Amino acid sequence: MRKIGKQEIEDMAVGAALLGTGGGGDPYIGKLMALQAIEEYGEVTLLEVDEVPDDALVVPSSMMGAPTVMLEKAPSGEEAISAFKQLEEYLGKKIFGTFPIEAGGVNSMLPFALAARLGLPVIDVDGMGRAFPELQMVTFYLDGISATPAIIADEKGNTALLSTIDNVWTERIARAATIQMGGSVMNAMYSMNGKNLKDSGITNILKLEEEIGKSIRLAKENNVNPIEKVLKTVGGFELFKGKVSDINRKTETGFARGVATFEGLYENKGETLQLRFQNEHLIAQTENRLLCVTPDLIAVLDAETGLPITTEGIRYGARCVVIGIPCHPKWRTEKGIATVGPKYFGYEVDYVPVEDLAKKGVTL
Amino acid sequence: MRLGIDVGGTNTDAVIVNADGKLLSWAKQLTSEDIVTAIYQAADTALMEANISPKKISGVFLGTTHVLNALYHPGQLAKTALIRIVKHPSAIVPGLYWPEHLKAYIKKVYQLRTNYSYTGKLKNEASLIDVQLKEMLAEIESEGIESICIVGAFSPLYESEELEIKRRIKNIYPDLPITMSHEIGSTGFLERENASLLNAVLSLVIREAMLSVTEVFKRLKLECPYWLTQNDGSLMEINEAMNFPILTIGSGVTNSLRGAAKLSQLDRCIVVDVGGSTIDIGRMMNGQPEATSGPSTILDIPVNVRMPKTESLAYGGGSLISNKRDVIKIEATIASDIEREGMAWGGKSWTLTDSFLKVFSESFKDEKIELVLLDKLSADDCYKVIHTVSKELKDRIARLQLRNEELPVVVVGGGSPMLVGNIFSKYDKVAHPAGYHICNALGACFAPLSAEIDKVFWLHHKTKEEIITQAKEMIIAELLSKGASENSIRISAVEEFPFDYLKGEVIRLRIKGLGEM
Repeated sequence: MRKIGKQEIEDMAVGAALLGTGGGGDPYIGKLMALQAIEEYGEVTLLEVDEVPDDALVVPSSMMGAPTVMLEKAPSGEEAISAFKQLEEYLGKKIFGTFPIEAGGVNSMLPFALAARLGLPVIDVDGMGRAFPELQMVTFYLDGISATPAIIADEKGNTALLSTIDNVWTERIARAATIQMGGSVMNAMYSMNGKNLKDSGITNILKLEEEIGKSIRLAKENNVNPIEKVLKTVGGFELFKGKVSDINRKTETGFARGVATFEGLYENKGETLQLRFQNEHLIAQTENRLLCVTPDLIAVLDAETGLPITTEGIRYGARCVVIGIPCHPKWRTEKGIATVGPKYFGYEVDYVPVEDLAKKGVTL
Repeated sequence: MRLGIDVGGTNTDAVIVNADGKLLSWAKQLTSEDIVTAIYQAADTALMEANISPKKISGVFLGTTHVLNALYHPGQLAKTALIRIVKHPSAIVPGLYWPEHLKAYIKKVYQLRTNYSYTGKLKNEASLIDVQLKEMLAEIESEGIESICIVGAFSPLYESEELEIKRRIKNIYPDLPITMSHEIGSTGFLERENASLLNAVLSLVIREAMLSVTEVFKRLKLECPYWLTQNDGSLMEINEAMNFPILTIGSGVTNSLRGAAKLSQLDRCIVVDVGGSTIDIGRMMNGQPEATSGPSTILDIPVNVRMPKTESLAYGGGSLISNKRDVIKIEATIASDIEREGMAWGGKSWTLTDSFLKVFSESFKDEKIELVLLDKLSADDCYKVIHTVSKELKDRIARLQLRNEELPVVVVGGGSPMLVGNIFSKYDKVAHPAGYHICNALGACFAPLSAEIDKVFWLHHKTKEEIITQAKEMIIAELLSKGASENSIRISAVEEFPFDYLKGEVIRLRIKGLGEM
């Protein structure tokens, strides 16, 4: 058990942007909500997963929909509280603590804003170890934990209770409702007990976020290469050094699909990297080498500062280092790859772990 | 012929260049408190020296740090009322983590209910706005409000509520400056609100300055358009700029970058501008001053307007040095006139420039300097000052250097001679071009015209390509109407920002064009 104050939140936000692998929404607004809530209500208690009783009711707090829309609405914080209260009422049980559903992006920060206001602890665990775009893309789903009963709440005061046959249906219905509810909603779903959380969650992920943020901050202060520090912290691989030579985004499907092209520099001179994304970065490949594939993490870092760049922030001419990080082993199972592997996103590529690709390289 | 003017913290410079870009004359004055006295004198002298009639001047190009400085030394800032048009009060209060001295100017916050979501108008609840607005209008006078800032949720998509509220306030208070957030920034409520609030608190400073500047130009019989440089290095007409101080706040720095590139004929370089009160370090890439991409900050306040990407040291040639119990410190205060106050000139103040002169007597040439006056300074102490400047400056330059290519460093500004020979002796590629002392005023003369569209579009009946084509045509038309020559116009950026995780045909487009006069 320890207390989380403002500096920890600042560092975690940087780590969350990196683990967001380009998507998940900028953690900035979530960070501000968390910081203000901590200022008003005091520091938040962070629990290790072992400190949670097996029978305790735990619920992640998250948003769903377009972060761009959420940024405009300037959330009141009431939506998340209302979702939690409704779920407690429905289940007839008090919620013991909360945690982020995903470590990447805005959802990594929102539980802190809620926890500070409700006086709940946050648990150092998540369901992805990164960010993914759909509700069923959590390790809880792999272990058969149901997303429902789930509450979604909007800023107007509407709430909806969902009870679905499986988590893919939760995703479909919730997303359709989200559009009617104004483009972004707060969720209380994937309620579970402490035992489930210990078995199915990805632990110590907030600690990792904090360490990433801290290593980038300290590297800047000590004038050392931040990217080396990050790679060491996350156990990742440098995939490519280059500058953005083209960025092509398509929006027909509503998901930000696209390709960013990087022209190689230094040891990558003469090569080009294509980075495919659908909100999150999913595949990195050069003309003849496959470098990293979802669910392994691909992050684009600013070559100078080491700070992570979102897909929205990729600008022509920017100098970047693309890195790959092995995903949590839970994703490297048959069901894991079927849920979040390249084929699910429509790419005819087989999943190969990033460390294998880094060792020998797979010729396309 | 063009007249370029730069109002810095210490000096005001004026230059006249002909159509080929050749320098015809220049003049320098100490910046006056009212800024316009010095502008008048400098411009008048430059015109006289070039011996040309004011009628031959085709444009006046102005850059100034005056507006930016007002943020550091408030006093002339406007007491602002913020009107948030939102669904319900937000968890995040306005001005969160602003410096206290600026936050004090957000006097009142009103929350009106919006009728919009991202899909458009929900239903007509105009009566509710009526009631709240009446209450607010009654308070404007009693609270001594000097400026209004209107920030509507979703205003980059639907600006009608901001326009409507502005109209109603204008009906009663026609002269009150009103900032509408959709004219300042795009999506991202908080960053847009921050930028709009800063714009609003600066509205009196810029208005007063630009009105008196315009009067001075008229007095000088300059019958031509007057321009101010924007943060991205392009031009905005002064009449328009008066409403957008936040977009011109970086004009001084970008002019110095452009001037340095022009003088040294290097279109990729790092520029160090040594002024009287600050040292600014920026980067020119491919002939354009680099601006921030994505969110940026002003005094650590996150905003979503583009800013020149620069590093600054909070001292310059005129900064005072103190020695308290053997701790040598460069102070935040400056000598307003170094030729009266500086020790080497017979004054009583120990300045940064005196420190350089003590150690390197050749570093600054001025007939009025008497080095014997520096006898009472300790050379060791002065060396410590130089060491600090050198270390901090090299650190900032290193941050801007590209990893794989060493960019040349161009040193400009009134204080540059004392640094070039001494601090930069170890650098290979250092340029100190002739004209370094009038670099900003010169840079202003070569700024391009620009036009930009940054809006959110629905693709209901059109393809994205059709919308982009349409937007490009609008930009070209705008540049032509501003006086750009047709063959110089180019679209410099087309950026798309989709609304992630949302199925719907909505997209934010940012398209920018540049053109030469």
